Formats: sequence, structure tokens, C-alpha cells
Amino acid sequence: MSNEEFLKRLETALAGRVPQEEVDDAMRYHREYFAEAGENAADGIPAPEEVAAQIIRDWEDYLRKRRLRWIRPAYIIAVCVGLVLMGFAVCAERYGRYSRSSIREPMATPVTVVEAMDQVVFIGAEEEPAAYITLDPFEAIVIEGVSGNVTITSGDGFTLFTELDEGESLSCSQDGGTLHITGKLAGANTEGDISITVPGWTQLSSVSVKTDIGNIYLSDIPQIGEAELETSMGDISVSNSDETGYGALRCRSDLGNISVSSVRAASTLDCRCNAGSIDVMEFCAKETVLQTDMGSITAVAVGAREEYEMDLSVDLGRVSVDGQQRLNHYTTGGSTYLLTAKADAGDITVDFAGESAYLQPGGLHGEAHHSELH
Amino acid sequence: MVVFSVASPLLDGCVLALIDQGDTYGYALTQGLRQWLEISESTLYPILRRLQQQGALQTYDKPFQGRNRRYYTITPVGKVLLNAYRQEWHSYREKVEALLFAGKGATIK
Repeated sequence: MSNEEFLKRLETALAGRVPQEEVDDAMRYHREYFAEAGENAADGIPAPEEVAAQIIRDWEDYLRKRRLRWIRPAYIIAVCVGLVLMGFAVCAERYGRYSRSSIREPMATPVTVVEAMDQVVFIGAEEEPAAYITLDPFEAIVIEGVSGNVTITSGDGFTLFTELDEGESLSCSQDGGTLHITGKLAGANTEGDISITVPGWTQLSSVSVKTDIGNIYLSDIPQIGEAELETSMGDISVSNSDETGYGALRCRSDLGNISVSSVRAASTLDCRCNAGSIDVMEFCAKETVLQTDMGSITAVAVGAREEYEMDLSVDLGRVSVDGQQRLNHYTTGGSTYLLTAKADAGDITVDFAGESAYLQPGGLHGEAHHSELH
Repeated sequence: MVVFSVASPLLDGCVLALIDQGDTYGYALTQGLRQWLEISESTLYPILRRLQQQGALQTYDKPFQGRNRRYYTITPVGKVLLNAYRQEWHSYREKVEALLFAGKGATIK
């Protein structure tokens, strides 16, 4: 089939089924594609009718989601709240009441309710999904009473993104520099997700996440005063690809695993789970407590073995330190850090990484990090 | 030999990942993807259009040899989506590997 024939048949197949601008957009794309790919490029793609059918399906899907949104009063409320907030932001910007880094004063009506259908929905501006919200800067996060995966990571700005199914809702409010997220997220059978981004330079004073079901991911937030992550059923993962300075990190998972990598905590690193395993890679903390009933514990500490005072104990499993098997209850003195690990049924493996590219074991001046936050 | 075909959500993720590495246009994107995946006999247009409607991608035109090339660029929404796809993939891969290699003595972390 020649390229020209493809274009002609595509146009015929789309005409009247989708708006003219959709037809034009599809034609434009394929015309440009053929110009780059050369003659007979149309042979390398499916029949135009097949392509058209997909475009029509997607368009109808898109339309259905957009139409649904207007019959939901919650949207209208959310749009109004959004407009008020936008107006507030514009005024604040214009009169220079707030500088970029300062935390805004509490707002009078801080609550935005997002209620959505399947996948991404749209609200406010045409191209902005409802579930995608630009937030005011904050320095603390509190998430509680939700089901679903929670991700907190660094990004271009302060944003919240969530995908909700029909009947699900989520409450989000900002108050005095704290972002609160509460409410039921998951419906009967589904899991919702919450993703929060903060700019990479942000120093968060505290992060508290408590979920019923779902994983918790905390990644590439280099400065946190205190982080507390709890899930009844799900994994917890904390990872960083750059130097970190946490005050304290506390992780609790009943049934899932806990994995922590590249974290330096000025005071404590405390990870406990019942059924899962604990992996802590490249960590460094004044005091580290690792505890699991059923799983194993694997730890690679930054620094030298002599620096760690250790108390490692297992009931049924084995203890290995620096590649050597040890007794069920192994204790040894050390100069700087304290490491306590307890596994009832699993094994404990502890190794030492020496110097780290990310973490400086000597730089544990936690108070400095706290004071920088204010 | 190609045994596995790439399903649509996965392809969405791959397209986002490529555009995340730098703005690009339809033909270059298709070629870029073909280096990694067996996607002959396909057009990326429906995927690109859908991602655009979701707010994950934006376009702009840039002149090239007397005509315009339409470039795709990733938005903050797209970045969050991409992140979500990455995480989904990790857990999916773990499950498939655990199943595929069950009993083979392979250790899957």
C-alpha cells in the first residue's frame, strides 16, 4: 500500500466518527511520519482501518470520562475550591506576600475533595487531570487512614497525583505547612495509589504515613527530620541516590518486607516487621534496631566493624558477621554506633561497606540538620 | 527470537521513558523504540494521542527542512505516571520471575 493510499483510507475511516481536529491530528502525524520514513513506510504499520478503530475507541473512552465528570457535584465543588486557591495564589504572587521558600499561612477552607472514576480524570484546565493537583509548599506530610500504595519522591514541584476508581474518595488539606491526606481511598476491590512529589531541595521536618493495605515508597528525599512509615500489609521501601540526612527513620510492616538503602540517620533507624524480611543497605545511624519474627535480616553498614557495638540474636536461624558464622546470640563492643538485630525464625547477616560514595559515617551531626529546617 | 509481545500499558511506560530522556518526534521515537522492542507493524500514534489527552505529554512544532516536526515533551503528570509504571513493573517482574523460576533454585529477591 502506498503512503497516499494509507492516508486516504485513514481519513475515510475516521471521518464523522471523531471531531475534525482529531482527524487532522492523526493525518498530520502519519503524514509527518511518512515524510521521515520514506516510500512504502505504510507497509510497516497496520491497516488504516485498524489504526482508525483504535483512535475511535480511545476518543470515545476519553469522551466518556470527560462527560462523567460534570454530573458529579463533587467536581464542581472541587473546581470552585481550586479556582479560589488559584486566585489566592495569583494574588499572593502579585503582591509578593509570600516568597518561594516560605510556608504559607493556614487557609480558611483548606479541604479539597477529589472524587473520581477509573484511571485519570480531568478537572479545571482541560489538560490537567483532576487527580493531579499542584500544592502549596509544605514541610510536613501526614497520611493516614488510606489503603493503596503511597509514593513520596522528588520532582519538579509540590504535587499530588492519584488515580481513583468510581466511588472512591480522598481528602487532602494543607494547613500551616503540613499536608494532610486522609479518607478512604480504596473501594471494595481496588487499590488506589497516591504519589506525592516535592522539589529535590526541600527539607521536610516530618513525614508520617500510615496505611492499611499497600506499599510505601520513599525515595530521593534527602533531608527529613523524622520519618515514620507504617503499613499493615505491604512493603516499605526507602531509597536515595544522593547524600541523605535524616533525623530518625521508623518503619513498621506487619506482613510485608522492609528495604532501606543509602540512609543516614542522626539518631535512630528502627525497622520492625512480623512476617517479612528486612534489608538495610548502606546505612549509618547512631542507633539501629532491626527486628522481625519470621523473616531474615540483611544489613550492610557504612564504616568499619570496629565502629559498631552489636547485639545480634536469633532463635532458629543463623548469625553471620563479616562473612563469618557466629553464635545464636552475638555481642561485641564498638566505638561509635549501636546495632541491635533480632530475628526469631530467620537469619541475620551483617556486613560492612567501609567508605560510601553517598554517606559519610563521620558526619553525624543531626542537630544541624534539624536547625536547618527552620 | 521474539516470543513475548509488548502489551499496551507497558508500551505506554516505554514511550514515556524514551521521551523523558529528551524531546523527540514520532519517527525518531518509533526508531528508538525498535532498537529495544519488537514493534514492527505498529504505529505509536494512538499511544501518543492518549498520553497527550491524559496530560502526560505535550507537543510543540519545530521547523525542519521546510516543514514542521511535532515534538513530544513529558509533563510533570507524565513523570509521575512514568514513576508509577516503573514501580508496577518491578512488582510484576518479581511475580513472573518467582513463578517462572519456581523450583529452579534461583533466588529471587
